[in-house]
Amino acid sequence: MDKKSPCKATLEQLCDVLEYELGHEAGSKACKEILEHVKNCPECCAEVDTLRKTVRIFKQIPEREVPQDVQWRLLTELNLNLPASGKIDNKVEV
Amino acid sequence: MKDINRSNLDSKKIDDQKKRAAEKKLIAKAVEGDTKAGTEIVLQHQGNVYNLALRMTGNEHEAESVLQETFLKVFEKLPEFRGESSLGTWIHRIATNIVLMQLRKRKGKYFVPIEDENRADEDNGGDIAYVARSFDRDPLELTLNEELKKSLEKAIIELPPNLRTAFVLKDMEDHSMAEIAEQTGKSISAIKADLHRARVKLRKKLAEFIDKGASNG
Ligand SMILES: [Zn+2]
Repeated sequence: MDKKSPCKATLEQLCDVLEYELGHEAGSKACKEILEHVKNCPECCAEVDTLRKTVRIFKQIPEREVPQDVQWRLLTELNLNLPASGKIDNKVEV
Repeated sequence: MKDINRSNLDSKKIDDQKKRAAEKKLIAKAVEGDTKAGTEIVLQHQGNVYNLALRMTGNEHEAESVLQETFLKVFEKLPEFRGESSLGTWIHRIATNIVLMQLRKRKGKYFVPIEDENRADEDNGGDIAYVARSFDRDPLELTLNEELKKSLEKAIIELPPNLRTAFVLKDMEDHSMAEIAEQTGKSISAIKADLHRARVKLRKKLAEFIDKGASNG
């Protein structure tokens, strides 16, 4: 939150809380204390909640396919052959 | 119930082992110069590398050059690959280093003084009340149609390079803070600050998209 906010949670602490909540990083004692504050503070709660939703939505952007011409040039650069079919199929057997 | 879970876990473990064994064979063949195996490695991992490069550079030409450089390096180093991680993780690490090098090379052109960036942030954070109101329409219910996908991709590209690096590596590619700090040569708290600023900027953009979508619909 910005300077106007009466909250004791700093940006970095909120970032820690978010990481902890998203399950990426282990929560430190300080982080768990801030989490308690966040739960009881509507402002911090909205802050963390909207950031969490933002991350989730951006994570949903699907990967793009590698364009055929880009694949062609890559394989050529590496002196590799196209699969026997002459067609590049992304679903290769493992 | 327990037994089912146990057997699922076991079969997953066996699958992983099988996958690793197949991978080892594939690598050995590629190292011996088998072009079919080499091609297979490329086809399996090119998507991951290309998307990382595209998101980090925001530019198709640069992404292609990162893709080529990465696989040239991969095949050069493949005989030294010891299998301490999966091949995919190893390739991803090489790609990350190459894309970061690429960004550093062009830094002069895109460099924004930190003071200016901070000042711009103050205007760009967005009013939390407005953001929260937009988000009440629950963006998770939002369908990622083509237009929204493009807008979100564009929003990432428009982030200043250091903020984009933190966001893409952490939130999209799931690197740990420690890994990113090591890869970028920055401190963990600098990465956290970059990441937070990136998220705040993207949140504002997202709120605007939702708002626009709601008024259109
Ligand atoms: Zn608070």
